[in-house]
Amino acid sequence: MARHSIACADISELSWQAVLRAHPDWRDVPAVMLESDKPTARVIFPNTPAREHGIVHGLRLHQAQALCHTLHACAISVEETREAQQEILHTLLQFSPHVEPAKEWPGVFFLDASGLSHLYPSLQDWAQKLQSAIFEIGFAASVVVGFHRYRVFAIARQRNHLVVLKTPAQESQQARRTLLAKLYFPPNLLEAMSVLEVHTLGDFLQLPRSALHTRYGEQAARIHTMASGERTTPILPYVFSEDWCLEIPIEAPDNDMARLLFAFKPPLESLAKQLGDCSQAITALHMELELEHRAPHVERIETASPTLDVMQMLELVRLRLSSVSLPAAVVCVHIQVESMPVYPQQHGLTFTAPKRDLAAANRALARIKAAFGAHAVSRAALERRYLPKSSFRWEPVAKVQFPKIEPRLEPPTLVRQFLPKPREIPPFPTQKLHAWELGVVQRMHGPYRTSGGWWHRRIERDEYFVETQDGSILWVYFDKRLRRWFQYGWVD
Amino acid sequence: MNICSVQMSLQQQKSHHSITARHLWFPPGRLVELSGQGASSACSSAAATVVLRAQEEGETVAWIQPEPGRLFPPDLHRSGIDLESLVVLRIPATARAFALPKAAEILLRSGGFGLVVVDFRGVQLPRGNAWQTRLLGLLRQHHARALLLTNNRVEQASLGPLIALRLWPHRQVSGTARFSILHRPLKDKTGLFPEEFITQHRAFW
Repeated sequence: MARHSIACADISELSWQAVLRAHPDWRDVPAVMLESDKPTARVIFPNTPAREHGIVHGLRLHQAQALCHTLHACAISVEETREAQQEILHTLLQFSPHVEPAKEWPGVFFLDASGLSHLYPSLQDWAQKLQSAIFEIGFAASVVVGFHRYRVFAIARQRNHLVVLKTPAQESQQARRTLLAKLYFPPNLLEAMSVLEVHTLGDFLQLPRSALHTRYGEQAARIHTMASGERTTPILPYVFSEDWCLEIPIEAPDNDMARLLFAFKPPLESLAKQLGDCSQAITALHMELELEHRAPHVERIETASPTLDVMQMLELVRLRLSSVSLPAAVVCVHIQVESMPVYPQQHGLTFTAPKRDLAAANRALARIKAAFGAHAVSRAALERRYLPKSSFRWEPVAKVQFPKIEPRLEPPTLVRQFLPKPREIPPFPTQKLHAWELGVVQRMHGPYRTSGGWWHRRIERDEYFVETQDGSILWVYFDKRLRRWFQYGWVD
Repeated sequence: MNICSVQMSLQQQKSHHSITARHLWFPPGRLVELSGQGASSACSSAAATVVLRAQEEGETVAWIQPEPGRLFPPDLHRSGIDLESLVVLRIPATARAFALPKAAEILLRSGGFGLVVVDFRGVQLPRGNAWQTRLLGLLRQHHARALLLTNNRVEQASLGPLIALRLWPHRQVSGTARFSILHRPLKDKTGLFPEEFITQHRAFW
């Protein structure tokens, strides 16, 4: 007999339920939830009495108020929704050690329902207590206990309130009756299915997956795979992050680097051990140095990867603080640690050592950032713009990666040196090419016209590559608006 | 046009006065300097071919320059270089003269980079040879390469006695929108380079 392994608690319209918790008297009167706290904000959820007045999703507030003068409205912030989720999560954790909030479906939680027979008389009893506990904190939930992740979710979305399924076959049969409109399908896929008159999950599963993939893309095929039961993912339990803080008083105020680092070492080691015991590792340190009679000095140092290596962290702190001159002696140091869960690495049966150790490369970059600042480490990203300055940008490097090169037959191009700011140059002689101050002109390539920016500051430039007799190739342009010549750079 | 690898035997090299190849390349564990001043200098284009070859070999590459720097990434991309994996360090102008070699040392010490290009042009060169000694030791330990770009004139001495190879890349027209870069060895302790080594390049017009 199959064992029940998973339960789904669906708090539908979580944000609206959070609003009703704050305004319980709005349950039976026209009320809407807005996208933001502005008079022109749009309605994102009208309750049933509001819908009876013709108020629908997407109307602006003043339009809705025109339809119903006694309308109540409020906007809920992301923070309030997150707080509500955290409260529900804490409640659910009383009933199962493993709870996963579904990232893609707000208000949906998956719980590990296995091994509870010793604690509760039956799964029905467990599910009822779970539902009651959620109700006590002000939310209404549907709870379904079953065998397969997507199917219990689908059944919970039918708003059956409380279901404990007896067999996987029953679960499959019941799940197939769920309307697609309740399953958070992407809007365009939902519309496509309604055109095909596919309204339920059962009808959707009848469609061939390969055709779905070809016609509607990978997402549709993925949903089909999940719903069919061929693939399931285990519960990824939510892990609460705690604030790990240290306070290190410096008995005799000091600004000597070596002595300060010596003072940091024992408490950091103790903290690292505590974190290790909780399967956590450090990703960043926030340091606030309290100075004598001065404002505190604050630094944030990131590690290349989660680590418990205290020496590595002290080295990063040393590199950062050695580039800073403290105006006064340090009297106390407050360190707050950012951490994340880490798991032991599994070694594969066959292991091929990569050419370069990318983890070591990332650690080196972390040291560079600590020594010279985070902006010192970057990579170039191209932009689809014509002005040289705008044709690329510098973006931070998160991780080093191995290069991906496509073989080319053509020879490499020449490379230019680019001045950060164009330099004005003597006017280009149109006739006496030998008399130009920058060199005797042999050949000119261009003009390459660049124009645009009419909405901000009109740009009209004629760009040239000028080969001079001495062998240089200058990259210049004539600004038609300013009527002057400038140099972008040169070929090097 | 004879396209061949740089690492030929000495006997073969003696029979050629110059070699034409796709990239400039050299063995690991050596400090190599590209220097040149003047109108036809082509240090950046030459360095780009080294970067491209290193990436083709699967090596991780870092380019170190003072901020704001004069590197123009779209040209590197046109040459075939993978910009996503090319790490560019832009060292603040307020840092000391030793900041660039210090950054190179940190990268090479990790063993995570196969090629480090350090662009000393436009900055005051660090004095002494101690930083070169450290870099050379790390290059040998990790089987890596370092390319140092300087504005030293041809008649000036190299950066120091530990420079194994010093080349002067300069540009010549070789056709319509085609250029050759001739790498003249000013100093060669490797014994691998003939009188001139040529790479072919195309213009972007």
